[in-house]
Amino acid sequence: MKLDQWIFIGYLLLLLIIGYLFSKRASRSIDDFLLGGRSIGAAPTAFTMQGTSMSGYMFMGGPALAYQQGWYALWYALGDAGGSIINISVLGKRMRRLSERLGALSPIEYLGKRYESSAVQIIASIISIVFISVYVFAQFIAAGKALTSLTGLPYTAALLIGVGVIITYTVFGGYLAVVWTDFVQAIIMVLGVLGITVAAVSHLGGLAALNDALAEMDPTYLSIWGKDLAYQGQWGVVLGAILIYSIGYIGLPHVVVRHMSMKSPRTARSALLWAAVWNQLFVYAPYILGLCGIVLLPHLSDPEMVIPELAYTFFPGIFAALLLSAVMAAVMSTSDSLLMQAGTILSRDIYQRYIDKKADHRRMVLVSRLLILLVGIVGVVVAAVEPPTVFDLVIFGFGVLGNSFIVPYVASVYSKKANRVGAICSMVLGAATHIVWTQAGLESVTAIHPFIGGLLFSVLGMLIGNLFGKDPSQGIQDAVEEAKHGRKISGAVDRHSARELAPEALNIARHLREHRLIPVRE
Amino acid sequence: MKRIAAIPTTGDPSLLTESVARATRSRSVRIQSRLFYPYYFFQYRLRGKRLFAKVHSRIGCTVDLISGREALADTPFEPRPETVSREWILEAAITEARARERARSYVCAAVSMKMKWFRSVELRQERSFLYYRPFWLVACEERDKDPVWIIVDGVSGRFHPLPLEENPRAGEMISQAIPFNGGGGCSGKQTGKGG
Repeated sequence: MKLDQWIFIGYLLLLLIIGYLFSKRASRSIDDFLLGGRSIGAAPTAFTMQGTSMSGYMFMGGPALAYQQGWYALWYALGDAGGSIINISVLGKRMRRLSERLGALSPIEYLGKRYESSAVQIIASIISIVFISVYVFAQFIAAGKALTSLTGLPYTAALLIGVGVIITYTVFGGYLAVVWTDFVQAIIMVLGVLGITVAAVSHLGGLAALNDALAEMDPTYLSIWGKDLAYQGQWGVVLGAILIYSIGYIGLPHVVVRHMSMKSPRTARSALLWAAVWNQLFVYAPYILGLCGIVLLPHLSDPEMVIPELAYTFFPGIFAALLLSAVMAAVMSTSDSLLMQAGTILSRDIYQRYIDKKADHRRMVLVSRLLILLVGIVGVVVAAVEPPTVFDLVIFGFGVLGNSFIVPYVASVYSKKANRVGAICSMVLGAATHIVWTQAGLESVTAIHPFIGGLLFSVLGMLIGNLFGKDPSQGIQDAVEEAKHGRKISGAVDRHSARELAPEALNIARHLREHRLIPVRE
Repeated sequence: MKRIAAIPTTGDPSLLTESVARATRSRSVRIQSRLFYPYYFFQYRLRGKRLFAKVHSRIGCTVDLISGREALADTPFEPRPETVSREWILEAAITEARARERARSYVCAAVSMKMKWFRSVELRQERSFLYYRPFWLVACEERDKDPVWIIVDGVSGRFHPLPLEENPRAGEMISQAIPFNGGGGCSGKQTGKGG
């Protein structure tokens, strides 16, 4: 066995040991573990959060686009760098307040309660499960490619091993996936990618020399319109490239859940600041590596292999193996979170709520596991038979989720008249438009990115649907109005108040009024 | 008057007003009264298997008997009997059976999600009881403004503003305040929301 294969196995063993040590500690005080006695502060929290949200896309999809299109690919990075900030600014506070009032624990439950509709909840669940799975398929392909580089095995065999590791990690991982393993993985990812970027750019003589070399090969690599000016004047495509990541995040249920669970505003704010700094540092690096690849590896058959090939061609085997281990780490942690999310949506939001109300935990776990198995099988088939690129799959899954949920989420807090028919039309039209636009290749005909097309139809769906449905109940309208303006209290009271006491505060206020312990003015 | 099992209030009221005034930057803070909020507590023995060993542990869960919200809690804690005027006790809206159902489901989900433990767990209920948690009703007064009314958790000291349509003036609050019962300590540590 080659040295780098040993490194990969050693890496997995290291994760296993860290997980085991922490699991022993957690077994002694399981309640302490569950109650969050493992606080690691704002910076490591942000580091871990961002690290685990980095998927195989950043190591394969992003660099491949830069390799094929040159500097045009940076439009995607630009959106990604500002995505979390826009996301928090648009939805953050209002959604936190409203979910607090509605008592919703998951984003899907939030939609169901806000629009007072089981149909909204079921449709949202189905869209989430299907397109979260698409996102997971992209991770499977990335895992297969990373393992092919690492082991030299044929792609299909590497894919089967990769998917096997991911499924095992998700179903049996347990404590292996705790915060400290995520933290170690995040550090390796950052060091790996930043290290290789510095080395590659230095090797070429700096960014200016990289640009000179690109210009010599084909000046259009430097253009904002893509190689051969393929997207010249197509602002609809460029805008889509920026928006898909900058506002697309708003539509991702597994990202939105963070707005609902922001516990301490102070920690959340610090973590956000750290996350923003991380984004500025990290997001551009994989694309820059793609650009370096154009010069250093001009005859690459699979553009998605830019980073693995750069690592193996120009750096010691140990470094390359560590980096590929980091890719596997990114893939494993992202897939694990996504699969858990999909499993929970199916078991809690659909199965227990609508199919078997009395289902016990054993049954719910079984339902989740069956879904993971199904996703695994379908994923292997998709990834083995004519596999699409990681880039295409991620953009497709991300785009459909964004187009389905951005408008219903934003309308839920900005418009008190947004109703269930509007939400359903918006979700269905947004998703359907993106799918049709992509499959029928309408981007090249209309010069408009599928994400923009989906967004337009989703907005139309909301506006037209709202004309037909019944207005939301007065309680919901009041809650939306209140979430808009916040409480009429000082900033200090708002900042330091414990949001988990909101239900108690609501019920105590009601009790005081009913028992006339507070005089109510008309 | 009614005799209830309540968690003893922790801390000194004067220290409480001081810390609330500091946190809310209020000119003055006045404690108006104390209310008692109903919860059910369930303690479980948790058993499960993981990769290398078996897990045996204890875990507690509280259920808010009005809104039905669940929370994990450290164990054990012991409420003490207290006699309280009825209007300051909130009435439970959820039955014990419903609370038990919610607690079990919540603990299972929390174990699965927070520990990323995709296996079924075995929960054996060891004990359960109804208890009340004290909340201080406090007016935070600011210059040239109506006071802001907040509730302060009598155990943890955390607070939340009361969602009143309009904040009545401190003097307008009907003052049937219960005498302060400062001091005393919780016999068991409690963390997590409402318990």
